[in-house]
Amino acid sequence: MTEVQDPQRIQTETPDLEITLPARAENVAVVRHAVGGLGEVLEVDDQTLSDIKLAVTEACTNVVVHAYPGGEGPMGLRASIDDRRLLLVVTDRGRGIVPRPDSPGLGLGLPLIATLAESLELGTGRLEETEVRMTFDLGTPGSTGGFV
Amino acid sequence: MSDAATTNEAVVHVRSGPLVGAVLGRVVGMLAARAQCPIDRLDDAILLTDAVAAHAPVHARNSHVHVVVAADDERLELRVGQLRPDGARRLLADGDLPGVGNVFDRVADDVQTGTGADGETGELVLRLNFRS
Repeated sequence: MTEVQDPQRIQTETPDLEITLPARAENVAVVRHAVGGLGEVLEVDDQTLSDIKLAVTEACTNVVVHAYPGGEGPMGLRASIDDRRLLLVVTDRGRGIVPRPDSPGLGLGLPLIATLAESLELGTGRLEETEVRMTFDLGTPGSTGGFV
Repeated sequence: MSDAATTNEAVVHVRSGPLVGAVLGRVVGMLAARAQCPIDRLDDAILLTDAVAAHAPVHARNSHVHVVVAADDERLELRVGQLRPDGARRLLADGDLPGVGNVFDRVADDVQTGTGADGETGELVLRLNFRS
């Protein structure tokens, strides 16, 4: 993982894409599929897109499993694109990222995201949302699709 | 779309341009499929989505297209919001195809134009029933 000097730089007032839906297991695939559409338009190569989709899937799965114990709430994805660099922010309004001794998972989600993404930040947004912020270097455009 | 227990709802806010069709089509397709939408109606849903993606950016109040997609066991609903005050009517009119008629009217079971919850922006509501 490479340190990005200023990850905030990519964040715009209005992201290029924002999706909000209930934090249910079935909706992780919806977000993943939407990211696939994003990658197609941005002409992202298959390997990079696969990494991006896996990272987003892990972040969204964390929301579904950990954010709302015993209940349900919103899960969001924001995407901002700046000169072949993609910032993805997965958000929730749950209890925040806290240690969980009774976690049903292996605890590999965030380390995996950190490995796949160019940078990873965990924090709280302006609306007190829990945020997982990931940046990806999209490389040079591939040979399919087109983004204006 | 009142039963929260069975309704799945996605709010999509996407910058006008090629992202609209690519993302919106996938979200609508996934939600409709999850709601056990019959295959012929899934085609209709994608047709409506393509028409929205093609014409909504022109009538959006700002640089983004805003769509709420809701699906349950009975129907799919697209609420195309944050349009200019006259945008819903104009978007509906853009669905006219020579010799075919209006694609929104012909494909959707219910079409309504109105204003959004803020009372200022236009909203086009399209409903597609899964069963006749």
